Order: sequence, then C-alpha cells, then structure tokens
Amino acid sequence: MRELLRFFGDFLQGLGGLGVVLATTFDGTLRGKVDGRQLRDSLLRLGVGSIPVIVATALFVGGIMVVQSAPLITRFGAHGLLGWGAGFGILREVGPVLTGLMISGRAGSNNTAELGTLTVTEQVDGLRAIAVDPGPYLVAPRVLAIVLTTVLGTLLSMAVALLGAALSGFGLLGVHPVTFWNGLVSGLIGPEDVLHGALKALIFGIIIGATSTSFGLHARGGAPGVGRAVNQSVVLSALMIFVFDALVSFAAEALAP
Amino acid sequence: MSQPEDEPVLRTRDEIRRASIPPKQTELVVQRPMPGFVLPSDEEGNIFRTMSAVTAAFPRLERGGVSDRIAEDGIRSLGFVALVLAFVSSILVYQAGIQAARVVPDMTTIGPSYLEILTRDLAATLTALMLATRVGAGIAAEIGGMRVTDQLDALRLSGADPVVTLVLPRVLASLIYTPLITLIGGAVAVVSGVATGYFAFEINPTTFLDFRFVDGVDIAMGIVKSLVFGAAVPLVSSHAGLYAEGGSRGVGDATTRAVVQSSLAVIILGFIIGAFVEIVGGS
Repeated sequence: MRELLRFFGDFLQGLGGLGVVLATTFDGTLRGKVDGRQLRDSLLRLGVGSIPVIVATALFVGGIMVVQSAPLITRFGAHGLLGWGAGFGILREVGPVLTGLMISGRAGSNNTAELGTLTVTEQVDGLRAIAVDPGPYLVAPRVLAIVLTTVLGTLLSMAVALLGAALSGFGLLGVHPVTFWNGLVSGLIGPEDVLHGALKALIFGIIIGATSTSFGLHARGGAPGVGRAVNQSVVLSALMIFVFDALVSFAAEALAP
Repeated sequence: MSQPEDEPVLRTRDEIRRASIPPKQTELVVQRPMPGFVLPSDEEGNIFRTMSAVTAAFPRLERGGVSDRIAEDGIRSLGFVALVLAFVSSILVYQAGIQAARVVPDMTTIGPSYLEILTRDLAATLTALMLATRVGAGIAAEIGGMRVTDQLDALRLSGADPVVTLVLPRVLASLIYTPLITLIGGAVAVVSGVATGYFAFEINPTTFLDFRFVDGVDIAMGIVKSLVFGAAVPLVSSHAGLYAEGGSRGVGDATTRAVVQSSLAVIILGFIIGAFVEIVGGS
C-alpha cells in the first residue's frame, strides 16, 4: 500500500515536472524570450550531433523492412508491392518511432546528463543567484531544439530509410529501384502518410524534450544520481513514444479513415 | 596502445596512485597480477578488447552474481517490455488490417503473416531495443558511476577484477533472461494482436492463430537473434560504463553512448542476420 502510494506520488511529481517544463517553454516561446545563443548552441549539439546516428539507423531500418517482408513478397510474387509495403511502414510507423528512440537515446540523454550535471553541482541555483532565469536560458532552448531535431530528423530518416529499402530490395530480392519507386508512388501512399509521420515526430519531440529536461533538472546525488536520472528519462521517453504512437495511429484512423 | 598487451602490470594511472598507498599493499598488488588487468584504464577503449576480456574472465565466474543480475536487470524489465510489445503489436495488426483491406479484402492471411514476422524478427528486436534502453542505460550508469568515483580502481587494488565481478555476470544473466523475456513479450504480442484483430476487424481468433507460415528457419532466427542481442546489449553498455571519463558529465555521456550504441548494435546485427538468412537460405 505504502509502495503504491509512493509510486503514485512519484508519478504525479513526474507529471508535474513535465508540465512545468512545457509551460516554461511555451511561455518563453510566445513571449520571444528564448535565449538565441543557447538555442543555436543546443541545435548544433543536440540536433546536428544526432544526424550520423539518425542516418545510420534509417539506412539499416530500411534494409530490415525489406528483409522482413521478403518471405511475403516472394510467397506472393508481389515484387511491385515492395515499395508500397516498405514505404507505408517507414513513413507512418517505423520512421518516426525509431528516429524518436534514437533521438531520445542520443540527444535526450545528453540533455539530461548536461542539465543533471548543472543541477547536482548547483549551477542552476548559481544562475538564479546572478538573476538569470533558467527558464528561457536553459529550459526553453533545449526543448525547442529537441522538438525541431525530432521533426526534421524524422523527415530526413524517412528519405534515408526509403533509400536503404530500395538498395537492399535491389541487392537482396532483385527488385529494380524503378519498380520500387513505382510501388511507392502508385497512389496508395500519399502526402498524408508523410504528414502522419511528421505529426507523430512532433509529439515524440515534445515528449523527449520535456522528459529529458525535467529529469535533468530533478537529478539528485552526485555522479551516480545523474546516471540514474538519464536512465529513468530514457526509459520513460521510450515508453511514452510507444504509447503515443498507438494513440495517434488509432486516433488518426478514427478521425480520417 | 602505449603498452604491450601481455604485460600483467597495473597501467599508468594506477602506477601513479601506487606511490601514495602503503608499501605492503603495493607488494600484494604486484604479487598477484590478474589476467583481467588487460583492461587499460587510461586508453581509449575498444569493444573487442572488452569482449576478449569478458571471454577470458569466464573461468573465474563467481557464484550468485548471475542470479542477482537476472533478478535485478531481467525481472524488473519484464513489465516495461510487455507493455511496449502489447502496444506495438496492437498498432501493427491495426495498420496491417487497414492496408490489407485497401488492397485485398482478405483478412485471413494477416494472422499467419503477423505471427511469422513476430517469430522471425519483431519479438527479438523490440525486446532487445527495450532492454538496450532499460538495462543498457542502467548498466552504464552503474558501472560509469563506479568508474568516475574511482571504485573500479579500488576493486582492482583489492585484487578483484571489475570484468569478473561486474561485467561477466551481467552478460551471462542477459544471455539467460533476454530469450525468456523475448518469449514472454512475444506471447503478450500474440494476445494483443489477436485481441486487436478480433475487436477491430472481427477476425476470428482461431483464424488469426494460424502458425502455418512459421517454419523452423523462423524459429531459429528468433532464437539466434535474441541470443546475439542478449550478448551485445550488456557488452556494449558495460564497455561504455568502463570507459566513462570525468565526473557526472562523464556518467551521463556513458549512458548516452550505451543506449545509442547498443540500439544501433541491435539494429545492425538484426539486419546482418536477416540478410544472411535471406542470402544463404535464399527462397
């Protein structure tokens, strides 16, 4: 019972932390008070720094999509459908989810580690002491940078994953890239699928940004504490990515069949 | 690499420290050089060296460590993995059903195809990705925390090899619980898939639960993948932790590296195994 209460308390506390971070970010953004230099810096470190990971993941994910659909494709001899099958999966589900997971692993945990270090070494309090509001200076730029990175990174990863799928379709199944392309643009897949993926990416970005920032700012207890905070933030982000992926998929289908 | 590999002495960083500890203890350390000391403490690490160190440490496995790690890393991840797989499989069946309805209005092949993909790939890969996040980050945070607070050096000084006491039990435990969690997660995914098929498309559960597409190759692939991923995740994460550098920032960086690199390892190894089977078993 006590355990349950404590769990519930932790849960509410975590939810409150996320809310505060999001509110701070909206507030800073709407009033245009986000520190430009910090934003550029965060975009460079969290965003540009994640590009290699995103590209590497996307290439292999495209390949995996093809390898996994190989038995189906060869069973029905439906080589023309490979582009459609891989494209649909990549644009709607696998692209946003795996990019989200990788950004949560790369940028999110980096963010938690940095903010956690600042927190356990009391540098955040130091900022307050010299009358710098951590909101627009630390919180908002990082959350915005992660949201932007996730959306743009997902679009990039969609393109790269399709390239990877076309390449491995050619290499492993002998599906000519032109056949792949035709399957892709045959009309079964449209801009709405890209939009669907981008919307998911936006939601995942907000999740990753808010979670990693909040856990970083609440880190306690020296170096091991920072490690624990990173661990928890990555786990929670991953869980929420999958849950919201399901919610968005179902909602999209219910609203626009 | 600045020193010959077979020289069983403490590395530079420890040698510096040796000057400040009592002579008697220095004697003890020098008298009992352990083969596990091949792990350099001040060089840029290399995952293959960690791998060989873990393999070399195998004969010196200690009792009880492995079951502790199974309880600590494995059982605690079970709920998380099961929850994620339930959601993912539900989306997957749902999307597949909608797509199938668009092309061929035949819902009978969704179940068998889904079960095949689940066996071949999805159960193992998704479980491993979740374990990379949950367990990998935990391992790196724990070992990295010990590393930056010099506890690993303390272990070495007292004659205990960090690879034997910390890394090896985690790798062995993961080899045991990863296939088991994959199995349980797969079962959850099947149940959730059946439920989605029934409630969303009114596919009869008996039609859905048709294992006719699942053959020996698929099952073998699933088992091999879960074993390979089970070895890769703790190895990569321990490696990240063992070479953490600098205070809290270093622990955070190690955790980042653990999650990213073990997820990448899972994805790349999955592709390699899949492509290998496709080329060798070529249909």
